[in-house]
Amino acid sequence: MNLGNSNRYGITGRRHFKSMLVAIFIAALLGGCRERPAVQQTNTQAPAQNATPTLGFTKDSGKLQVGFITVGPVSDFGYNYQHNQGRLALEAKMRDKVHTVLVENIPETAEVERVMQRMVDEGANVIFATSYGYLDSALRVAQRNPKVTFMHCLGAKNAPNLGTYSASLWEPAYVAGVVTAMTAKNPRFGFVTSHPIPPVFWILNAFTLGAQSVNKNVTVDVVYTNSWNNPSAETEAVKSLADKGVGAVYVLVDSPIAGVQAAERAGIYSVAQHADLSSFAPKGWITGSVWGWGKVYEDVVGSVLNHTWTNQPISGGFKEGYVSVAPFGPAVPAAAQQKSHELIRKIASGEISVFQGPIADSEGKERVARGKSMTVPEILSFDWVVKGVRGGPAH
Amino acid sequence: MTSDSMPLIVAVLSSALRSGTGIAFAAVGETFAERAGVINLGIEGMMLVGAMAGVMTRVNGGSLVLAVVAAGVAAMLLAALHAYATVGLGGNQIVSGIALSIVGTGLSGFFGRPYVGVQFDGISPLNPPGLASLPIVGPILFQQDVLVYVAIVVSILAWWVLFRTRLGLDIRAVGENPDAAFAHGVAVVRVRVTAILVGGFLAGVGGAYLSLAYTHLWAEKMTAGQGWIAVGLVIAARWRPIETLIAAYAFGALTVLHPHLQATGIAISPYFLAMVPYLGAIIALVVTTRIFARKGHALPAALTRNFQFGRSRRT
Repeated sequence: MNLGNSNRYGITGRRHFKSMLVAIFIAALLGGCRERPAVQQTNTQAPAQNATPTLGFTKDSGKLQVGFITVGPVSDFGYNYQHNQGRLALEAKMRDKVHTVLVENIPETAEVERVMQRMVDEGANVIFATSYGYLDSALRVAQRNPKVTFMHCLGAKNAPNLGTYSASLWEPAYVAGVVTAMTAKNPRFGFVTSHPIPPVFWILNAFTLGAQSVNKNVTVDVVYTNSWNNPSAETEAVKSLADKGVGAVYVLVDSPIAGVQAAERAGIYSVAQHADLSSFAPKGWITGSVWGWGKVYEDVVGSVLNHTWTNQPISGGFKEGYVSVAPFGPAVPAAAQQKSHELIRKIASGEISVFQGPIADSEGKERVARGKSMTVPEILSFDWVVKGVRGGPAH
Repeated sequence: MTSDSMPLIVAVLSSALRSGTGIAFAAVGETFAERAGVINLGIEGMMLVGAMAGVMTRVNGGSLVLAVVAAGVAAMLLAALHAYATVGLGGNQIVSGIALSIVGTGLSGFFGRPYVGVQFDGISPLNPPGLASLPIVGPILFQQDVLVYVAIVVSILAWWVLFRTRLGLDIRAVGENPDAAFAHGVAVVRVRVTAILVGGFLAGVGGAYLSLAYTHLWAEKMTAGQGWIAVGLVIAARWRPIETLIAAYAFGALTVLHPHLQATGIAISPYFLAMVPYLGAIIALVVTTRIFARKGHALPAALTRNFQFGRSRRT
């Protein structure tokens, strides 16, 4: 043993320790703070398609080749699942005219641009980019490939060969609020979601107004998890609401499974976005607001086949079949089910509107006057929450 | 279906134990590795592999005990890669650890694909009759699942091993000065590899806690950075298992304060609340480093320095 050795492990060790600390913090920041500014999820992962040389387009079959890209796994019983359900519905309806290819788990990075270009190279005629963060990539690929039709979900920009599509999910959220208030005795509800942004406010406000149309005393406590995909945080958020005494909770994240399961374990009712999750909460499941992408995809693909496609934004609600209410759980009384059918009919016919005045915000200020209804652009840019919603940032 | 309101402090403490348990397992494991002079930044990846392997085992019919053990073993295999790269080949520990994290994230995502959205019976709170319904202490101490208690036992055991046994002495000696330890007849390589593997096993159990007990599901990247926090907590706790456990609970408490405060309906920005645990971890790190730097509870002197077998043999 010589002195040189102890020196080597002593002094220099500490110097390296500092750079190590820096490395840890940078890594922790990368790991902990990766967020996405807008509509859907942060979940990313390497492409799921394996080493097969092609994506599976059949361009010589004479069928229209339609590609779908999702940001997460389609088995999430959530956002991506519902897009895949839409794709499957499209295939079932137009099997003889359309061939679809799904590529899931594509991060919102240069990766998605490569996948889109590969789809084009392999013969895709229409590409559905289903995640909000794909917009800029889709615009770039669309510019390079003017003969291919691109459709982006929930985006606000277009190009000659790129259109956008969305659906009025506030309609089923309103109905879910009515049904929940008719099912749960306790007028305190909870709401678990990611970020305080407009697409969340559509749903939160519609759900609250629906519930208040049954019981004026309904309050909705909101917990934001700051992530579209953090099952631990969602579990804890539901638990915290249950501990504070709410009787039902609406879960709005990419995959609501964690929240719905946590609600069932805590013995409270659950409502969720995207899909039917009754199997995860056999006792407490009430209903959910569901995107009806199948109809949207049929309409878009139909217009491409008829050469009537334009780049104008596509949107619709119950009337167009673009949204629906999920199957009811066992706790929902027959009267509530009947009421929901009636509401769906009236909303579809335009007889009633979800955001009909008078509507006051959380500070009691009147935002929509009696006799007025909010327009779709107004709804899409919601930056306030209705009276009865509690928690979150000051509005 | 009604739920009685629980005082905020009780609800937060009760949740803090659960929220901190996954990190506690991983951080106590990391304490072993770092005490032996090997930092393993791959905790995030190992936790994910453990979380996924636990669910995979459970869904395919394994018992809960088997699922937890499988999670530990799977993560341990990943840790073996780190051991091979650093102890075996003398590779840079930081680089190998970060690579391990990326590999673990990818592997768990790939093999976990079929298990997204799959239901299984997970680990539920014990709720011993009588005790669980006690006011205040009931929710905090008794409405917990068995792994919460295991984490406490493991931390105490880790302290005992590190500071009261011959093996612990060897581990610390190897972490302070492997050449001297080697000269004294300690099997440096074997001790370091053992410590890394123990660290991997516990990280896997920590991951399994998140999937099997805390959330009852598998989702990609479900650890959401907890593995990185575990690395920080080990340092903040000055490489001591009991303190590490307490640090994990403190971090857990700050983490759950975020939803619980929001649930009370007060108007605080969720972004500010979400920042608090990380801010707390940094402050704790700074404070403990300042205080203990003088008192000599400093880091293992040979941390991140590989043992150069051949050179030592010549001396």
